[in-house]
Amino acid sequence: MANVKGFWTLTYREVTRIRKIVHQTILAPAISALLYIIVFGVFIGAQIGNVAGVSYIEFLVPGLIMMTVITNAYMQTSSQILLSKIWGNLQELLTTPLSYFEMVLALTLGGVVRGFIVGIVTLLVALLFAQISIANIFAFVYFIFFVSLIFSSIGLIVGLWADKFDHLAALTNFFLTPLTFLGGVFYSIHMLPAPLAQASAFNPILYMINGMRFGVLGISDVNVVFSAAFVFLVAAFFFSLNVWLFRRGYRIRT
Amino acid sequence: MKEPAISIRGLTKSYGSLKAVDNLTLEIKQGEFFGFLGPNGAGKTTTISIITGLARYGHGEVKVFGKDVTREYREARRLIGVAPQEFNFDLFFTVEETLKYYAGYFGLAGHEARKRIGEVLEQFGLLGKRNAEVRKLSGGMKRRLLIARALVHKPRLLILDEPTAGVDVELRRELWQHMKELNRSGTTILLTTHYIEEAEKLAKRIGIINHGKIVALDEKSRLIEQLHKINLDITLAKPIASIPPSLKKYHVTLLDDNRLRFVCGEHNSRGKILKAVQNAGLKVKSEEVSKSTLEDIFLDLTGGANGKR
Ligand SMILES: Nc1ncnc2c1ncn2[C@@H]1O[C@H](COP(=O)(O)OP(=O)(O)OP(=O)(O)O)[C@@H](O)[C@H]1O
Ligand SMILES: [Mg+2]
Repeated sequence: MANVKGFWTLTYREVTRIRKIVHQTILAPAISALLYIIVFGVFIGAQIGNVAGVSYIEFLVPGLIMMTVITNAYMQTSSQILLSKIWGNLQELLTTPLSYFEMVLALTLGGVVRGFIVGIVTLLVALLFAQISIANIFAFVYFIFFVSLIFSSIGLIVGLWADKFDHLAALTNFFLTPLTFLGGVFYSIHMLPAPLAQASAFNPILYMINGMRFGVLGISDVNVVFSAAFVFLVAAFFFSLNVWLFRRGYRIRT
Repeated sequence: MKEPAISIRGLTKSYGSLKAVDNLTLEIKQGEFFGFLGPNGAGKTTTISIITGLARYGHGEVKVFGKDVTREYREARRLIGVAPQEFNFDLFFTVEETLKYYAGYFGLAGHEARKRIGEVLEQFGLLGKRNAEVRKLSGGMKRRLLIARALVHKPRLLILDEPTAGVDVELRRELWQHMKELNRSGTTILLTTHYIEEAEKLAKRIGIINHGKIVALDEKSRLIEQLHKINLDITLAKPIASIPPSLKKYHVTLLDDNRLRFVCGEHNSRGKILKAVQNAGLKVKSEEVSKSTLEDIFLDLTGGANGKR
């Protein structure tokens, strides 16, 4: 029997945390979106002209949304888990009658909610500079949901594994940021020489960014159905891995 | 036949090569007030962590009211309230939020939860601090909150790991009162403490653990009776290096190099012991009779300071 009240309590707790750190969850992504859009979209974009049939600033926005969603979903869960390991309140959670599935779902939903908030904040900032109408609202919601689920799941795992905050930053610096930059936030892979374009096909973030681009602009460098199936499966994999780790008590139980 | 509140069978837990809990078997009946004693590092907290799902274990079976703590972890955890030895709060939540969330995990919400939270806040003198962040509480107040949190969902089994460490005299008295009342109203209590007086005052049955093994387990009254045997302390005129072999058949310990403690009993009367000492060629300087306390038994069983790891 599911512990519905318990589950919602934990979800609510995680969402409340987001409210308590408004400057990080709203202001920080807003400022970074503003900088990217002004510098790349407005100043540099003016020199570039159209990309894939849309103005550069429009082309840029979906990638920025995805970039922010990825970083924030990851930060939300990884820092939260690490902190609660340090304070010991992860153990508090383990003494409650929540199932491991419910624990993982509630914790990752915190990251998903944060993903939606920062995604929408970025979109709103972009609207100040460009005329964008969401081409496919279903795809927009679908990709934010599954991508933030993926990265909040990864955040949980890294948070469990990590001993200090440097470890969390390492994944951002060595994987998330490079893969995002190379995943076509700033360019279409058709602009790359063939070998590089082919190499890009192995970058998972490419499919996420293009899925979002389909949602916002209705265009994509890659097959959208494939992208949709891909993020679903990756999310399912990392989510299940988390439930398994929680059940095993990986780094949680002595 | 009612299920025992706690049933532990053949439990072993190792940290590397160290056996923190070593083939431990223990049963605590419903409604019992059980005192769990032992020196630092004996394995009390480890045992509790296993019961509450915080530690994995290698071998054995642990059940709470018949629910296996691994296979039926949710059902088992629903019945337990635990105040751990170490604080494990989210420091940025307020006192009230801490209790509200914890109650929520157990399915308590809305009016019912508010009422219950009001009750425990009142009981533990935290009403004035309900909106204070946990990190701004004093150590003793955090201890109060820890116990209030353990009780907010009205558990059938309350586990308190050194609840009175670092609390003032007043709170200690209050806590004793609360514990007694809770136990009277049917809550099973497992208490660990280093204040033997506390265990003597509260617990009905006592288990002493050392190096992960139970070394004594009995009704408190019987344990104390056993402990309250009469001690005969003999001070010798000259120091000795070890207990002479002829005295080994008596229950005797060498306290200092010139003091021997005998436990008198039916077959070992004072006269008999004194004679045996003289026959061993030792000269008695003075003698003193004393009653032992739980503390003596405790030290005796656990080897005193030397028994510590
Ligand atoms: N996480 C851990 N990793 C390695 N060893 C541990 C760990 N936790 C406990 N131990 C060891 O297990 C043994 C039992 O510790 P435990 O905390 O159960 O003792 P205790 O009886 O609660 O002692 P105290 O009265 O000091 O609280 C000790 O030797 C301790 O060092
Ligand atoms: Mg302990």
